[in-house]
Amino acid sequence: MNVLIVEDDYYQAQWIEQKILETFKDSRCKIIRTEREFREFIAEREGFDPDIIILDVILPWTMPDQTVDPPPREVKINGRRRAGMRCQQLLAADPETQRIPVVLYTVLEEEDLKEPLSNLEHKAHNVIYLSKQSDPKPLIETISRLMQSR
Amino acid sequence: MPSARSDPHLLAHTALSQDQLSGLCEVLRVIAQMHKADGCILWEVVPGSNLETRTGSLFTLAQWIADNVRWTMDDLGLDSVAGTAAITGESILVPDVHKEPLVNKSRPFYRVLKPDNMSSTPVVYLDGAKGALTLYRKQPPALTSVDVAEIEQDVLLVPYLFQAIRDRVSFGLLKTINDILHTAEISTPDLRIDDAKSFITRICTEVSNTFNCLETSVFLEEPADRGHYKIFGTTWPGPVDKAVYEKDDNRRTSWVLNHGTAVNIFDVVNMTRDRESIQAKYAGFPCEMPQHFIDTTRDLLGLAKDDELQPLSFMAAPVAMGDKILGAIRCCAARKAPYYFAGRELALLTMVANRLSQFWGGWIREMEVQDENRSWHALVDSVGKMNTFVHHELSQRSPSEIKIWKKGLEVTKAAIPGAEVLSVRLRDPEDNHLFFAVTEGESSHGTADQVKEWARNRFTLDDPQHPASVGSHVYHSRIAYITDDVSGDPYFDVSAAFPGMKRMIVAPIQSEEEVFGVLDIQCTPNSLLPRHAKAIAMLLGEQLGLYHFLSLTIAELHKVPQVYEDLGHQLKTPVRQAYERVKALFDARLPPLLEPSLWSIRAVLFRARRVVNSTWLFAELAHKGHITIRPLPLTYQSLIDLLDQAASDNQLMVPPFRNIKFRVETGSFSVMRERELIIDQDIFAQALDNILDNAAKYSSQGTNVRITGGTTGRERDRAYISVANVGLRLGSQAAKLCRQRGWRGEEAEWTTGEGSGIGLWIVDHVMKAHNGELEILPTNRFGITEVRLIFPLGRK
Repeated sequence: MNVLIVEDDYYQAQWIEQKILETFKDSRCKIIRTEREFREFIAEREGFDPDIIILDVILPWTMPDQTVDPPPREVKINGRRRAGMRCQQLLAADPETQRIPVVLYTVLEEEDLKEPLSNLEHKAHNVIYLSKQSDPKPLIETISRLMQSR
Repeated sequence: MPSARSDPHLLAHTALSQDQLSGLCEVLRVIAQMHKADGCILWEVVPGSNLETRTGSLFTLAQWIADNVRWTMDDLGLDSVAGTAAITGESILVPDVHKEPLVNKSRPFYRVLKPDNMSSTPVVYLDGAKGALTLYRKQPPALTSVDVAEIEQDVLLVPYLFQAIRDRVSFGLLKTINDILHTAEISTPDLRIDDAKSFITRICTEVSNTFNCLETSVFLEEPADRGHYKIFGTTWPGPVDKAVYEKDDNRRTSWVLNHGTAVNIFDVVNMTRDRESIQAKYAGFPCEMPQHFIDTTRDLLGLAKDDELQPLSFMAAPVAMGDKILGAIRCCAARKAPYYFAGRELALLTMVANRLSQFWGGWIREMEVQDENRSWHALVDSVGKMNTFVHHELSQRSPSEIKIWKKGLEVTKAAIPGAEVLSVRLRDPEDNHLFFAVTEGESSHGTADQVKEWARNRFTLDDPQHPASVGSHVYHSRIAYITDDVSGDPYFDVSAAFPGMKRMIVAPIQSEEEVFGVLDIQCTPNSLLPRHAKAIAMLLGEQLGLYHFLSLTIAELHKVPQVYEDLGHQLKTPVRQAYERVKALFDARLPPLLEPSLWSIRAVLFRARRVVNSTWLFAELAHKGHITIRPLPLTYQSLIDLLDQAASDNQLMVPPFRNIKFRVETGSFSVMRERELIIDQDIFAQALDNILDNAAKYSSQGTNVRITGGTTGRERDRAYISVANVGLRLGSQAAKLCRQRGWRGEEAEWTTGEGSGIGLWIVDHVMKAHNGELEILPTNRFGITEVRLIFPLGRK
C-alpha cells in the first residue's frame, strides 16, 4: 500500500509515517510538504502511485528561499487555508486520481470546510474529513476502512 | 388706366378665398375669363437656369385651361414666346400662333392646347424668380395690344395674390398642425407610440392637402431605437418603398437626416440633368431616381401613357432639436399646380417640422422622465433588496464578495435599461492594474467565450497624469465617465474593447477614503443608455464601494478571532506531540534513546510555550494597548546564556532536512561586559524567540542564522542584538509594514503553513515597553535580512 502524506509540519508528518509503517507492514510512505510540490507530484507521479492520500488542509505554497516564484492567482486569492481543498480539486479533476481515497486530516473544524467541500466542482464521495487528534487510532481505522472498501 | 375688363377687386377677392396653394389656378381662371381667353398659364424659370446664356427652361407654375385638358410642361425652352418675355421683360403679342417661329409646333403646348393667338407678359415673383403669364385663344379674334396692356396691369398683381394665397394657406396649415399637436401634447404622459403615430398621420394628411402633393411622410427616431428613423405617418397611397432610414443610407431623406438641412429639388425625375446646380446647393445629394418610382408616381397621379409628366418636386426638412436630429418630414409630387415647391413652401414645411420637433422632443423628454422615474424607483427597490442580501452575506462565516459583486451587477442591469455587459474591475495592488473581478451579461455581438477572453485584459493605473484607459481615468478622477462611441473616445483603447461595443459608462467603486476599482456598463449599438444612466452608475459605484469597505472592515474584525484560532491551531500540534512522546516513553519500559526523546519533548514544549506566551501578550495588548514589564538587570553571562538557550530551542524546532544552523557569536557581545541591560527577561525571551522563529521559517535550506550584538548610538549608549538570516527577501516597504498587527507579507503567506501575523507586532511593543526599538532592515544586496532589538544600555 502506497500512502501519500501531504503535511507541512515535519514532526507531524514523521509521526503519521511512523504509525502507518507500524500498522501496515507492506506500506510505503511518501511525504509532500507544500502545495506546489503536490502539484508537481500529481502531474508526474513517477515511481509512486498512491493508494490513499492523507491530506492536510493548511499548507504553504512552497518552501522559503531567496527567490520565490509567485503562486497562481487562485492561491494568492484564497491563501494557504484552502490549499488542501485545491489539491483535492486537482485529484478529483483527473480521471486517473479521482478514485484515490483522501483523508482530509486537519486541525480545522468540519464546519470550516463545509462550504469549500460543497463547492468542489467534482464532488468526491471518497473524501473523508478527520480531525487531527492525539490518538492515532481514528486515522489508522479510517485508512483500514478505506482500503478494505476499494 | 385700369381696363374696363380688368377687375382687381375680383382678383383679390378670388385669391383671398383660397385655402389651398392650387387656389392660384382660380386666380388664373378669373384673368383668362376677364380677357376671354381659353387658357391662362403662369410660367416660372426653372431654378438653375441662366437667362443671360439662355440655358434652361420654364415650367408651369399654375394653369387654367377652359376645357379641363390635363396639361403641364416643365421644359419650355427659353427661346419660346414666354421665355423671351421673361428674359426681355417685354410683353409679346402673337396674333397668329401658326406663323410664329418662337412657337415650337411639335411641343404639347401647340399640339394639345391648339392655340390660335396668344400673348406672354413677363412676371417677377416676390422671391426674385422670373417667369411669364401666357393667355391664349383657340380662335380669332386675336388678342390685341389693348388686351396686352390690360393684362400687364393684372400681371402686376399676380405675385402678390400668389403670396396672399400662400400666407393664408400657411397660416391655416400651421394653425391646424398646432391644434392637432396640442391635443397630442395634452395627453402626452399617457401617449403611446401608436397614438403618436395616428396624430402624425393626421399631420401628413393636412400637409399633403395644403401642397396638393401625393406624398407627405414623417420619419422619427424612437428613444429606444436610436439611429433608426422609422415611418410614423405617410399619405403615399401605395406600398412604402423604404420604411426605416439610417443617416448613412444613400437616399434623399438620409441626406437630410445626415446634414440636418432642409432641401427642395425642382424635379426628381430630372435630377441627372440638374445635377450640377443640385450639387452646388446640396453637396453629396443623391441624384439617382429609380425608374420604378417614376412609373408608380405616374400611375398614382392618373397620367395616361402619353401625358406629359409634370415636375415631381421634392422637399424635406429635418425635425431637429438643437443639433440633435430627431427625424424628417418630406413632401413629393404635387397633384395640382403649383407643382414646384419653392423656397416659401420649404419655409412652411420647415415651420411644420419645427412644430413637430417641439412635440416629439417633448414626448421623448416625457418618456425619458418616465423612464428615469421608473429606473430610480426600481433602483431604490433593488438597493433595498441588495442591502438585505449583502447584510446576510456579510454575516456569514466566510462571506463571498464575488456574490456581492454579482448581485450588484444584477441590480445595475435592472436599473439601467440597455446595459448589456457589466463588469466589476478591481485594483490589483500587486502590479497596480485593474483586472476584471466579475463580468456578467451577454452581448448580441459576441459569444460567452469572447466575453471571457476579453475579460483577461488588464489596465495599468500607473498613469495618473495621462490615463491610457477609461478605467484609469475614472479611477484617478473619481468621477463617472460616459462615452457614446468608444471608437472615437480619447480614453478608450479600442483594441481592448469587446467586439461590437459602442457605448460605455465607467463609474468609480469607491468609499469616501479610497477607490477600489470601477464599475463598467457597456452596450452595443442595438441598445441605448438613458441620460440618467451616469448618475445611477455613480450611485451604484458608491454603493458597491460601501459594501467593499464594509467587507474589508469585517475582515479586519475577523482577524482578532482568527488570530486566536491560529494560535489555537499552533498550540494543538505541539501539545499533542508532547503527549505522544511522553506516552511513548512510558510505553517503552526501557527507552533505548532516552536523551533524543527528551530533546524532542523539550522542542515541542518550547513551541507550546511560545504560543502560550504569544497568546498572553496578545491578550494583554488587545486589552490594555501596551505591555507591562518588570525589568531587572541582566548580566553579560545571563544574556549569553539566554541567547544560547533561545538558539538551541529554536534549532530544535527546525526540521533536520532544512539544515539551518543558529550561531550565537558571543565575541560580538564582549562590549557589554562592562555594561548591563535592564530588561524583563521572560518577556525579552519571548521577543527573541519570535525573531528567531521568523528567521528559521524564512531561511533558505542549508543557511545559518547569525546572532550578534554590539552598541550603537552617538555615545554608544544603546545595545543591540542582531538576528541575520539568508532566505526570503524583505523589501523596504514590507520592512516598514511588517510590524503591524495581522500583516503578513505575500511571500510569507505562500511559504509558511502557519502563522498569525502578530509576532513582530508583539516584539515592537516589547521593545517600546523597554524604551527600546525594533529595527527591521530590508534584505541587502548579499541577500541578508537583519532584525535588531535595540535597548538603552545602563552602567554597572
